[in-house]
Amino acid sequence: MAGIPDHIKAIAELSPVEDLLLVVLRKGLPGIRVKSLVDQHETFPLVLVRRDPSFGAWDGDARFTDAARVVINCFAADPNGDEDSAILSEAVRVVLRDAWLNNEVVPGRGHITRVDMNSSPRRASDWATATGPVQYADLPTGVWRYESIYDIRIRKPRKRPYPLPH
Amino acid sequence: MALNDLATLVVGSGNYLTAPVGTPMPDDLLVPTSPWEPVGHTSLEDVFGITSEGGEATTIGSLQNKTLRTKYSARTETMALTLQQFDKAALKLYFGANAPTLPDGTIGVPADPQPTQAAFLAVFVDGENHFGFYAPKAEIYRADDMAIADTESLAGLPLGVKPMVYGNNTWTYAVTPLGGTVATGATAGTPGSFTPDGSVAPANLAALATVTASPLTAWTSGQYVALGDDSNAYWTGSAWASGTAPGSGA
Repeated sequence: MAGIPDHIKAIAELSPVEDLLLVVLRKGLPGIRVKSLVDQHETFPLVLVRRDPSFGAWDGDARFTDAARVVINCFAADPNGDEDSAILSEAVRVVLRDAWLNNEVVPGRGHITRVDMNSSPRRASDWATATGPVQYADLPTGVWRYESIYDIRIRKPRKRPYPLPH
Repeated sequence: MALNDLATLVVGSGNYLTAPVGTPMPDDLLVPTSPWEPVGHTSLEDVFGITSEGGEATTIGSLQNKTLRTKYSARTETMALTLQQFDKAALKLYFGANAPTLPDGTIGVPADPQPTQAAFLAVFVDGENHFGFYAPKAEIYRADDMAIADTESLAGLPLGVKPMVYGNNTWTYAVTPLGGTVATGATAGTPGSFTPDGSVAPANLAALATVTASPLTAWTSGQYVALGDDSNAYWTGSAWASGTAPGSGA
């Protein structure tokens, strides 16, 4: 049998932060591709969500909360790709804030209890920065990327994300 | 007391509302209907606090027992929040209910301000949980002086809400426990259910001790109830046991 056994999965209390944000952003940005991985032949506009490993000391409550630094890259293609990716970045900010203030609960994933913008959206000239995607060296021609960083706090789900099957 | 993860509170959002004195608490705290009205925007940073005065303990002793009993003086409490809305209704909460609206539309600050008397409700939301403070009668007035310290943050009006005894009540305000209704009974099934309807599953096997099984005879093969810690339990006919009922042949 492939994968890890159910009784091992059932130990997990926290859900991957990216999984929660993918649900929240896909719901809040209908029609926009929201992903955590880049396809070989990617299409745009695209929102790329990734947890940033350079967070320093993790300071969630080990029993009930999670804390994460998340890098969000917004891509848009010409015409007007520069402005579009900036606007898409702002839309992401609003969706995250509203998910926090409206207590948007994602079953099995938890909900956001705080969003702080750590680094506001800024233009990045290629795929690869310290926190950005490094899969390819150069952006496709006519595609623009804006990168932003958020510190996010998450309340763990009421039920464990992978309960034991009854 | 059993550990109950579902009764922990991490406030994600909240709201403060007022209504005429004596208005009962809304049936659904998340959808309060008229006459309940939000007080307006409040601070994200200074969310809520309760301070109190009085309540000092005096130890009374006899010659034989120096600490025979303790007597406490009356305690008055004040809930604090910071209003960040500067419309007429909000300003009257801060400057006084008797603040007059002047002919040019401004609000006059009275020399002898009177607190606003209203029913008060504070609702804090934690995902699917919510927690509330309800006072059928409260006096709302400024809790602190106002200062606009910088140009970067929203200016605030520090409000104090003093719950008061209403009618024949022996209490001034009420709070809503987290964790829902405690289950008193468990009905066999695959999975079974807890009674009364809507009650929260006991946290673990130990917390089942006070729950009455239905039926009281041993549960049949495969029957169980799911507990708060994601484990299962069944009734053996004389006690609760972990897992699912093995049946007569097991």
